[in-house]
Amino acid sequence: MTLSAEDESRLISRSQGGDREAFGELVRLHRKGTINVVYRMCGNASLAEDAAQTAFIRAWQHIPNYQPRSSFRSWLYRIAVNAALDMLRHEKPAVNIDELAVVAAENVEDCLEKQEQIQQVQQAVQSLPEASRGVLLLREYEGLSYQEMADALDISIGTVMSRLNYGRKRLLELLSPYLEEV
Amino acid sequence: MNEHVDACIDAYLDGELSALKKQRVETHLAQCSRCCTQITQRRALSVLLQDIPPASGLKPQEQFVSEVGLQLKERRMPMQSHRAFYLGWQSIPVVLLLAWVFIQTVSILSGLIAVIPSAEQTLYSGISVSMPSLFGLPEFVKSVPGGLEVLRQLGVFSIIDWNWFTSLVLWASIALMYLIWLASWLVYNRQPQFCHAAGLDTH
Repeated sequence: MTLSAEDESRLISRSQGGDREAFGELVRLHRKGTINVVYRMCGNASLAEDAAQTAFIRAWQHIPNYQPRSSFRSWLYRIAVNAALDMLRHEKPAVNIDELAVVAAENVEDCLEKQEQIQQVQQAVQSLPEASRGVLLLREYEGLSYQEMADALDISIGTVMSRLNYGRKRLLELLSPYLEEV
Repeated sequence: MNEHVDACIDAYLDGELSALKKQRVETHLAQCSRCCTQITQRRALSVLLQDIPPASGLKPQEQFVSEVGLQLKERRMPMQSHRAFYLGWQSIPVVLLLAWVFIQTVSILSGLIAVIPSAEQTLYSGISVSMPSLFGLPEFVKSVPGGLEVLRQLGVFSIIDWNWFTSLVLWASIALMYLIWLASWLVYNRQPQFCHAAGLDTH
């Protein structure tokens, strides 16, 4: 679902005025992205959905104070990432292999290898410190610019760069056997 | 450019470098196999990360939206009045400052009038001659000395009848109002921060 920036800002200002329908449109618009950001933070789809719902509820409560200096998406992701981290502190979910997509493969062996690789990548990502993980995921999966990430996480661009650099270096170490294959 | 470009590699890959810096990095990459390897590894990492599938087995969109909708609380304060209140609140110190400047100006002027001999008389006459239509003064007011007394009684010159006590009372009122505003501001800001309450604090 795509929407022009003008339409989105109209929805935001209607939501700021208390229009639930407009906010519902914003939820529809950003549901997938928000859930995926959280999912990649925690590796659990149902936890990701709960955290995303919490994030939208918090966003509704505080949308009157939202200033369009930063993009709405980065503002929302900031709330979602923090909601996910709050939830992760209360429970440490294990990676659910059932949730991993079945990759089309020539035979079962290839398929199992691929699943194992995905699992390893997911575990490596989740072993990163929260700060580096958040920046890396926003960049790799949501394509946020450094400025948007700085706005989303309320940090400087320099900190974004150092966290990203650390996260990538660490993943390169952890996933070196798989990188040779790529 | 012989130095390695480790510090710029991420920004280069993410398209965050200026054209000039990008060109410098590319010039370096053309002659440095070590940095080229780093670029290749990072590109491969990015490909590997894309293999992680998005969340699956999610609730249908409309169910998700309606569940969120059910948990939204009513907001009591309409946005417009919230903004108006905020602007009004922010402008209080400015209004007080302008009031203080006004009082100071009037105080200085009235002081000068009191010090300069016959200044009051000249000023009254000047005003009554130059702006008769404004005050709706009859002609005799300008010609007879008693006319000034009429003006006083009409309250036209009340602003000039300023004394130190009036100034003192007004200054004290302004200072008191400012202190009340400052105290309210401090109390408001000692409450849990919005960002923290919204779960927006940086971890």
